[in-house]
Amino acid sequence: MARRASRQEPPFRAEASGETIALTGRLSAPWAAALREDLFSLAGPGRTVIDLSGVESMDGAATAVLLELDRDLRSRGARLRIEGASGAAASILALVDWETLASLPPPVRRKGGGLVLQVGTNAVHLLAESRRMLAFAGTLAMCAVHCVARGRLRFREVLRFLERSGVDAVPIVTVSSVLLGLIMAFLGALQLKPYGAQIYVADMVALAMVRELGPVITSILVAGRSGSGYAAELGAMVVDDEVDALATMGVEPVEFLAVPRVAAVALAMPILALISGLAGIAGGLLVALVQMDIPAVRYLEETRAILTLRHVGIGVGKSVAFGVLAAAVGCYKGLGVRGGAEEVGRASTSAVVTGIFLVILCDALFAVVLTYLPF
Amino acid sequence: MTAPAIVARHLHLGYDGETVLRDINFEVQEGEVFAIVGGSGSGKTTLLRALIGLLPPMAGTLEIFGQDLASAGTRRRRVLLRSMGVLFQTGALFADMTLAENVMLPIRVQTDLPESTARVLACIKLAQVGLCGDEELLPSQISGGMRKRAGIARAMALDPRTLVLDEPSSGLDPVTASELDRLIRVLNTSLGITVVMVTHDMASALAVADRCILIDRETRGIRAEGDPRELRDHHPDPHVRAFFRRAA
Repeated sequence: MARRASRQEPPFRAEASGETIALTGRLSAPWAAALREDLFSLAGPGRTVIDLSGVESMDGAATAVLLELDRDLRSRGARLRIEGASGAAASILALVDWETLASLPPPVRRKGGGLVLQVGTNAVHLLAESRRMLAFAGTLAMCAVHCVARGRLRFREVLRFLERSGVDAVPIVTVSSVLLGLIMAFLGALQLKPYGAQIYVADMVALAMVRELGPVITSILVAGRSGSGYAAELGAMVVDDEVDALATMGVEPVEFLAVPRVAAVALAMPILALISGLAGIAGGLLVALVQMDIPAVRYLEETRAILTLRHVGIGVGKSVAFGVLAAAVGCYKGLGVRGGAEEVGRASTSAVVTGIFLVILCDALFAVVLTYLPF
Repeated sequence: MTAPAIVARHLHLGYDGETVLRDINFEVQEGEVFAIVGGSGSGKTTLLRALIGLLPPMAGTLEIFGQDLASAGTRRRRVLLRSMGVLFQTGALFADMTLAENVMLPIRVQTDLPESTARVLACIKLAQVGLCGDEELLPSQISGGMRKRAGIARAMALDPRTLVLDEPSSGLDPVTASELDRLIRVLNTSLGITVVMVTHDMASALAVADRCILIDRETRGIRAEGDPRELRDHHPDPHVRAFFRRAA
């Protein structure tokens, strides 16, 4: 069936006489829009009879036009009467439960509601989601403790995920961090040059990359790579009933599926964060050499002077926390999939967005707490 | 019954150079219910994919209403494929659309019907498969049997000349499966739609099919052809009789 060619002559005719509209010819989908136009202009409360005795053939689309006309007439207190249907028209009309369909109320579209209702609904959803996430975090922690205490951690799985989440992430973490260090040093050099304080670019880059940006950028990359990957993998397993199969075998899905993944990320993150810090410093050094004419030894001495073990420890500690957060969110979203394949995609997207948001929130908390801690 | 709706001649089908079906020959007459039956892995779905234009033949011809599908130009091929409505095994409904929107999709794409008429048409089609009042439900909110019926409603949206059904009764309980069989028969007899169904449910094939072909996994070809009840009761090959009896 194709869209009708507008210049062709319609294969049907509609003629009004008294209270009857006589239809003749072939009534088919390509011409249903024209049929509708004719019928709605001719019919009215005073003209409600459709004579189909001259109709050679009729399809579902034409039936829909007649039904829509009847609904329109009923809304104006009249009713359509169909006469003379035979052959194909009679067959197709016989398959339609006319009374039920003509008296159906128009579909109720799902409404978004007012602004207050939407805000309230979203707040309730957010609270419920937070509660579920906390419950999952508790289950994950308990399972991790059980795994370690009973020696049930599946090391081979952990190594497999370590390779995927850690080793495979090294190139992207390195390149991103070099570029970040480079940009930071370049902008810092421009600002500090008027004061003759360009050497402090080394301090700025080292501190920022090792303590702050290194862990954050690494965690964001892990959330994007591993968090979304975990959500998609586990979501697909839920859809295929694999997770239910585990539960029926008496295996706790969180312990079996989530713990190895989160453990792998927890192990990979310190190394990735250190690589990120070093790569950022290398980026800064490059700018120092090319743009600021600072010797490499001088730059590195300044870096070593500002970086203490405390800074490195904080950076590494934060990276573990952020990584665990991003991986756990991925597992939570994946295991929370309900429905079909489209939910897997949503879970994957949500894992990345929620993971990154929580990493930034957690970083803000770290900033506040570390400011007031004595060390 | 008039001219054949589908004619397969010396059809060889397969994937990546590996032949799955060899030298397939059959005709589907317009207005009949034709079943393609066989055991698991016999190549039924491969044949169905070729019928609906998703798998080009390795050799041989497949004619739809007298036109070779493989050699038809893009426009003609599209017209030929539009003359078929397809029900996929899982229903293949779009999950983020309501049932009405799923049925309206081909109507919106292929016709210039106003939205209101398209919606009424969708309601009619859904009502014909027993889903009146469920128009605004999402596929995730309905059962497997309802999904199958909604899939049929979508396949019938534009009154195709041929309805191609892939395992219509698989995963359904016997009552729902027999309701679906009845629906297939009603559509066939009332509207004259040609129905081609791929199934391993012999009860279904025996209930609704006028003729069938039995595909043999060993020879990768057709082992028997005819009225399924005749094949069950009178075919000279005891394996064919046993296949229909055991499965039924």
